[in-house]
Amino acid sequence: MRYYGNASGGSLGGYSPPEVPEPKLIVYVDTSITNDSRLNCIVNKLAMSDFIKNIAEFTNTSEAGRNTLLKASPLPMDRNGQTQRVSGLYEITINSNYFNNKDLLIARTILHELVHPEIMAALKANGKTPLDDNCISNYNQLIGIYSSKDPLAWANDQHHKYMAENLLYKMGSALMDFHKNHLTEDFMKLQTLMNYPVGYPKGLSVDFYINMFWGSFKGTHAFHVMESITTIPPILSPLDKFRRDIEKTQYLTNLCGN
Amino acid sequence: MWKLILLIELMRYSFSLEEPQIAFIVIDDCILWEKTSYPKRFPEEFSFVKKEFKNNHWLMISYSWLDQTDKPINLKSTLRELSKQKLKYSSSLEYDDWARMEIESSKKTLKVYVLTPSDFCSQKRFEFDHQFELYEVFLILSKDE
Repeated sequence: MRYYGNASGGSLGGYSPPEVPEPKLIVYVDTSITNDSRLNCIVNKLAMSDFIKNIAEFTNTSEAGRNTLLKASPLPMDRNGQTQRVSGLYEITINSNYFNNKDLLIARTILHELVHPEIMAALKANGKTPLDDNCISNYNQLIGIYSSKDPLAWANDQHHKYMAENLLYKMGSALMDFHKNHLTEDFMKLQTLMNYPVGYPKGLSVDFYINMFWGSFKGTHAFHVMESITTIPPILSPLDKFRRDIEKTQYLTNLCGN
Repeated sequence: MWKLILLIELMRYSFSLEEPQIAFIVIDDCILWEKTSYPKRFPEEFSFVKKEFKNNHWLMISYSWLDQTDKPINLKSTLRELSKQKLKYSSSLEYDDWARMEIESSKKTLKVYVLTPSDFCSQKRFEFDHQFELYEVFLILSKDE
């Protein structure tokens, strides 16, 4: 366990700060990532973001203790990435067919995929996770009837329901912080592009980054609710805003490390 | 001498750049496409979304640009002339076909021109030798994570 300060007293005058759990994910970054300079750049920058630091530590050495593998290889065309439990490891695969994707969108995929093992690890550890103080109870509320023949697909659906209803704002904020602090030039360019009356005239907000995650939560109740909200023009509906923001991703860059 | 070498290298580089391929797509399954209603940055911009597309996926075609210097140049053609090209029809394209075109387009090795549903599924189709506008678009395909 990791503690802030010295719990035995001394200069802190006996103050015992709250216990901060160690990140549960020790992520081995495979050479399929490190050998690609742009992907490696994105992962290195992600590793510095607060959200990721709270849940994961990245390593390039294959020492014991790692419980997660981050790699890139070809996957079916309908996915950006996936997480599976393989031989006791959480195995995150980024679809190498989409290496040309924008930096921010690759970061979004990695961030999303890292939340899957964090949920699994938290459920094993009595719900302890920096992402959610009420992880177990929030998760249990969303458990659906086991109807799918594919247990992996079923678990994936439960995770997405849980993320959509409990973690969306945190994930969006984390992606925004990452963009602003680690891909600053790209952030500024997007901010300028979105500065129009029905874009983000007051500057980009977390809503844009939340919209980057909605696409992977389709099929969840939360997505259907978002999709069904109607507004009276000229007010844009949440679905309109989601589409507007997704449309603008084509102007993001893929220059990390260059 | 070094200037000459530089010039040769530059010429070699510029001639080795490949011209992008071109795909002409007729959006013929018109009722499956919905024009997005939110206002755009420029009045001529538009986008269409194809919904209910393989496991809840969706596809967007977007005619938009960064600024006026970046605005794509449209093509004009009659259906008769167009039929002489290698045409693709949206109704017969599978998810993976769109995905491959999206990748090529993002690499700038493919330019995608569409005949929009609002043009193709209108009376214009029945006007003799009507000159249709073909718009160069971006493809955005939803994916799982």
